[in-house]
Amino acid sequence: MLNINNLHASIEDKQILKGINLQVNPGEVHAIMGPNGSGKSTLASILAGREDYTVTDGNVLFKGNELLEMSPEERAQSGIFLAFQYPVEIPGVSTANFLKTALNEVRKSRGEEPLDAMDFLKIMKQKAALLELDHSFLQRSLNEGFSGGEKKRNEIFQMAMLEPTLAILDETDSGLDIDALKIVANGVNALRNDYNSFIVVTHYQRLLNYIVPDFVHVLYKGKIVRSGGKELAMELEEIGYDWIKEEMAENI
Amino acid sequence: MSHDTMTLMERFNKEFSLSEQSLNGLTETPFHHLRRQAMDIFTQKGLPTVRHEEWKYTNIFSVLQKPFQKSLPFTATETVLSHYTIPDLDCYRIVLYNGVYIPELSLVENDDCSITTVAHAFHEENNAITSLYATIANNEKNPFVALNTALADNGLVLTVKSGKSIDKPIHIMMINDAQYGSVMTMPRLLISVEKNAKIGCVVTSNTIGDNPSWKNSVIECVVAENASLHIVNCQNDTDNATIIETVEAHVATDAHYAMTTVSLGGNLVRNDANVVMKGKNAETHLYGLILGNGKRLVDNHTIMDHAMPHCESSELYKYILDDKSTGVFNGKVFVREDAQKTNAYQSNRTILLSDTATINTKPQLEIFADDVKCSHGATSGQLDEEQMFYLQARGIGKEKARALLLHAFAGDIIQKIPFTSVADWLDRAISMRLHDNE
Repeated sequence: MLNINNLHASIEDKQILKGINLQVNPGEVHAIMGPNGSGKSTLASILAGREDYTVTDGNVLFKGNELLEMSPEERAQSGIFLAFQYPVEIPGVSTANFLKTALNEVRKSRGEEPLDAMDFLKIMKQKAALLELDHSFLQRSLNEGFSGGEKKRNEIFQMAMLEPTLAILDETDSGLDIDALKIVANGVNALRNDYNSFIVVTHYQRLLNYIVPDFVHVLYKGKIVRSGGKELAMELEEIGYDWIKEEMAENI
Repeated sequence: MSHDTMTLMERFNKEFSLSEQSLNGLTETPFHHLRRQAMDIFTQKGLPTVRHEEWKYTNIFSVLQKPFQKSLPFTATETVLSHYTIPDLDCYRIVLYNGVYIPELSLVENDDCSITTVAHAFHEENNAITSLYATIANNEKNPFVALNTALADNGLVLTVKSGKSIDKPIHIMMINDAQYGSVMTMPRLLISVEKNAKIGCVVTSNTIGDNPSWKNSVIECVVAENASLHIVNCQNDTDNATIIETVEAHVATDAHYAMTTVSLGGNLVRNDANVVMKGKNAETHLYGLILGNGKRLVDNHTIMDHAMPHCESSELYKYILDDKSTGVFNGKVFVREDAQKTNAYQSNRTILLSDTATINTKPQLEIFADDVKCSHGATSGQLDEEQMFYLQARGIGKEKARALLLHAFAGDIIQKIPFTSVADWLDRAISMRLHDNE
């Protein structure tokens, strides 16, 4: 589904990604871990189409198409979803109205008819229940005045509504207490199936207790330095990231 | 002497003598005396140039050079009006066509309010009206008010009787007909809301025809003790129109006054909204939403005068400026020595959609009391890139995302409108405009 080949990217002449290779197949959950500043969020942002970065080498194929040549909206329409680390507040646009617009734009791009108000409401109710969000929440301006936990739940709720084929969760666990973390993880797990994939970007292993990954990758200084199964996350939790730093220092 | 060779002042003087001649010798009435006085003030002051601080950004000379005439033929019919009514609005109606009150097209069947003309009120020596007329709007301070007072042959007076609450808003239609020549009109209105009375007015400004059109309107408002007046002011004129509009209000003890101006049309628009809070515990809100495109210039000048203690005022003016359009916002707030416990808030926010659009903003607070809460702020910038990316990352295309954000920005003002069908109508008009830019 997703093929990242030798991806190099920089921001303001500072090289952040230095040759990422990653293959994600349908039904897989990949965790990307690593110390702060290793390039985890940069990778997530580049996949979603943020324009602040310059790709200097490599390419990304999504469902066989050149992802990097697509606009952010085209990526979303073709099934990519980024759960933001810092969801932005948009006063004056209600969550419900925003989602209706987004959902219908995605449907339009697939040549489907827009949902009528009743059908939309029905789906929205169902998905909101999954994330334990009440109705008043949906009428409020998007993320405006939401707590950190509410914002993250709202991200996963949006994901549930848009049903992406590849969801990228960018530090969705940061700032969440254990209850909110469980709600978010349950939301994600409910959406897992054989056809869609997840990339879970996280600093800590904690989230991976609830969203169990098939693969874990360690990103350090813009490269994947180690890959393994879910046990790699456990190992990292125990011994931290210092060993990578040492190992890398030795290699230089 | 042809129009081309006459100076602007000569033309205005000619218009004044024409209207004097039409009085058939009845030039010694108090009403005409008032008009002549105003003409003298206007002649003495002349038209403001850009050297005048209050007109720094708004050059009216070039637009007023057109061969405007005040008395042009027109045909005001129900069919013509039907293009300018507001869908689903249950309302009364007053029609000022080319500045002239058209009673046969005006529908106000409600005994709780009365409508008369200024001339009639003077003729009847109706002191309740004559004591107010031309005392709220200031001839000395604004030459366009003086010109209007001099040339408005027959202003209209709307009185809401003491203790009465009018069940439906009054739609005041101001239409300029520029089909038969370059038209200049002087609509004049006095709205007097007596003690404990309440009314809402929806003023719409439209222009018909392609010739140059200039509307110089003056609305005086008196909001008496514990009375309430809400004006929704919609400017939908065409590109050939110049609008100079002055709305001045006196707000008494415990009274409530609000005006929401939505400016969508007209090539050059200058609005003066002045308020004096003359009694304690009064409340005033001025809101504005301005959409600028092409070479449109919209200049809003406000004066919020807190003369008495315990009053509250807020101002929020929002501009969305595209192409080569220009916005001006100049907001003066005075808090007089006696006006302790004043609460005054002012804000001007602008989104610039092109590099060639400009906003000139100048808040001016003069505070002479010491126990007050006053704040002001002005922001201008482009659309928030983070918000744009967020919407795009959910599959919403750039143009739609842009329209959604602008619509939300504008929605803040539309929400202040107390009449649902007017709010809906404006909301649709704004949506259409924002999507037009796609």
